[in-house]
Amino acid sequence: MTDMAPHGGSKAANKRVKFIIGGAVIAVAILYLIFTATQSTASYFLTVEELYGKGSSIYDRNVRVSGKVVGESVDFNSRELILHFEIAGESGETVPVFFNGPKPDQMRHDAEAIIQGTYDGNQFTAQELLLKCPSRYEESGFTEEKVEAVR
Amino acid sequence: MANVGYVALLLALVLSIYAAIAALVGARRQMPALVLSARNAALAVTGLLTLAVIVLEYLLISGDFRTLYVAEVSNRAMPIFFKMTALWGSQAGSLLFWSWLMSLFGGAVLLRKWGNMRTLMPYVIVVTQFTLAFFVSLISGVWTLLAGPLGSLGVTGTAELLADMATINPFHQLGFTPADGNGLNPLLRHWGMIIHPPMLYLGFVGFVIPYAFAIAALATRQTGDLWIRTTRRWTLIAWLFLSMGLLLGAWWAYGVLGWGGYWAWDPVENAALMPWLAGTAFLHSVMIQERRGMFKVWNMVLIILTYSLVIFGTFLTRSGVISSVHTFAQSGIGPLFLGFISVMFTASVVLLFDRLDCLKSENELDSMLSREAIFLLQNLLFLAILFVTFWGTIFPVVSELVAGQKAIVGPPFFNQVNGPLFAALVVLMGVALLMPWRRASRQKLARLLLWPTVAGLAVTVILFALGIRKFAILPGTETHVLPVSLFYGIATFAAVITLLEFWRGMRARHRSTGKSYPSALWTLFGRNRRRYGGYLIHIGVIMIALGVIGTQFFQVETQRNLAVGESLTITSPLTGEYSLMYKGLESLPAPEDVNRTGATLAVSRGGRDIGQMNPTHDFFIPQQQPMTIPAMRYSLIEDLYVIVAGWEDGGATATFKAYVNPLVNWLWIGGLVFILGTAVAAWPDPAEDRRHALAGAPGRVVPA
Repeated sequence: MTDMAPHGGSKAANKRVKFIIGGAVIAVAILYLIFTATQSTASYFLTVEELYGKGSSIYDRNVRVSGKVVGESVDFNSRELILHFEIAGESGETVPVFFNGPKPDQMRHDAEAIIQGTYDGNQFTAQELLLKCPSRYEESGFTEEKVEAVR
Repeated sequence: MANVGYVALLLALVLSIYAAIAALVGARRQMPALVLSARNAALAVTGLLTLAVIVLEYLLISGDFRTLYVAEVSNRAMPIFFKMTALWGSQAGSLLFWSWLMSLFGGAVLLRKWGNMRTLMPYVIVVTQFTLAFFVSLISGVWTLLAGPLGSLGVTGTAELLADMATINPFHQLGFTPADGNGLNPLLRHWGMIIHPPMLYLGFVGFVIPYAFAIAALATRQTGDLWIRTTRRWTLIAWLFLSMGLLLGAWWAYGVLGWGGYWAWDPVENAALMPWLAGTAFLHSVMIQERRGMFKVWNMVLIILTYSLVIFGTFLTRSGVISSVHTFAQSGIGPLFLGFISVMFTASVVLLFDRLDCLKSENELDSMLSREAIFLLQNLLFLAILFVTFWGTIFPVVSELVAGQKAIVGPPFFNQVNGPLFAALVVLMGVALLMPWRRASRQKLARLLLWPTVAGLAVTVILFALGIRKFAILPGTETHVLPVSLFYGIATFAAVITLLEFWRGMRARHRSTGKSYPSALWTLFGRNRRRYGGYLIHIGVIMIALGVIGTQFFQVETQRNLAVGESLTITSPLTGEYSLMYKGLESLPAPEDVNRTGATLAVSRGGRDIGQMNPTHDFFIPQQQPMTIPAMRYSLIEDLYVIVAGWEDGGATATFKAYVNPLVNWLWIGGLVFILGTAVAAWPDPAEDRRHALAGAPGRVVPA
């Protein structure tokens, strides 16, 4: 764009440089924020097989794992709100899950579960459970049920 | 009957394509008769889509379950009101509803604005009818025609997806007549959820109008502020509906979903927020063009972005690309949407580049300390929040494409990055009001800023001293060092400046006219609706900020399993300890397809009895779907919010989850003030219209 300013050209150009530098500084700062926040908050979304495939590299890191609830493994102590269950991947491999919170209504055999929390090599400690059942309302939709652990 | 609706849909498709082409050819070849024909075709499209909607409503109300859509979203037991609102209960109906609203807006523009806009109008028809043709094509089943040829070419995957699209036709007929339908999703049987989608859609389609005028202005090289002034009210109304849609969605989530919150940075929520962010930036920045003839290219960029995000938002909500794990290619809608967005975006940008020569700024930015510069900075912040939201929303897809591993960023990402950016916006919201156009004098600005800054700092320090000692994450680090009381200080700063503006205006009118203060305030709004409506919106935003900060940092929650007679306690940061004693569970009267169970809790605070709460649990029998309805005790200070999460042995023991949500009601009150302010700003102003008529196109606007 050409300079349309009625007054001195070099002064206006100088000013424009200032504005461009200012804008660039802001843009870089925001990109830096996005970058660091992505790094610190992103968590893997894994299948059971992928969880085992990652080995110790993801121990104690916040991850999400999806799998199907193994019905007979569900054990709930309602007084203490302690829930144990297993989820299975497509190959049938299972992960034992510990959750301190209420048992979701949809916690039944073969329900699709997405658990969020940490895996220590033996057991997955879930902070949040999300259960999905195929919706009757949208062909591609789900009804979801989310429960959080006691904090 | 369904056939009538389907034929209307097909005719609407044919006529909208005709209207777009005829208007384009008519405008380029200077054939007014053809343009007139395009206009009539466009109006006919409105009529035909209205007919299609009436037919679908008839099918829903009469329970014609042979029609797949009717069987999917309604059943015999539903009251007639829900049958009617089932029009937007699912995919096919929503898209028809969207198209119909779009055609109403498009038609209204043609009826209202035809007179003085002869040159712009043909292109407005092109854009609105082309957009409409795309949406109608999705539900009219025409894309399935491509499935055969593509299949024989060996592109079987795409062919199958397109063939599946037959069922997105709202008039698709089943081969048999089911005895009853599925019924409407129980979660949607709430009036918040009934008006939320129409509001959102009205906001979405409303933004197509200013976009259409922007493209028309580019195409005809009439890039003065004519198109902006013409569409200002359309933009405000679109923005009002979108804002209401967002607020209602939040309110519904809080009151119905039972998770104690109102906003989760869910892709579907972000889908509606993103066009709102771009639209808000646009609304502000066009003021600079009206006033100073600057930022012309920028405004074009913003409206193109808003339109693209509207389509992208519809795509996100309707295709389920991101929200669900395994449904990337469930329907052919996704690829078609992406194709359409790419075409429109590319065409708009190419047109914009071609017309850069007629978008030269009439003025230079004089100083960093000017209202123009603050507006530019504010625009940058809105776009930054938009980009952050966009990045977080598409991150699962990006990470899968780039790293081959799906990863997601949750609410903490959005809060950490967007939180400070929103806080910076609130600061600017205050400062901008004190900034003069062109150039501010440092001394004067410092004097004006002094007391608001002192007030803001005082609030920060006093709250901190009173024990509000939470710290937020300092962006870019992982340490919690940012005192939350500072956010309240910032809100105070902006509030003091805005209220002082009201006070100064009121006092000046009181002195010059001798009117009482309340009537001076009233005439203040009457004299300059745009300005004071805008300030009122800002007050609403500050109230919303109080609620957001309160719930974000001071929400308390607890959950416990209780036997009858046992209590749980929860300590509010503001009002002391609540104790909730479980008294029992009982079955409650409910509609025949629902099992309703209610729990009774006796509530006391600081040892004093303050009443009972009854959280309920509905089980929808035909759908086998539970729904948890919270019980709430409202106050301006906080809500006590309780849900019953489950029970054993007929209610001998039950699990409860309780939340204290500090200041949450300021969110809803602020929302009302916000909406009121927008209505004031958008209200027709005869004096302003006269000024424009006198100023004439494309001259300067007389200072308001």
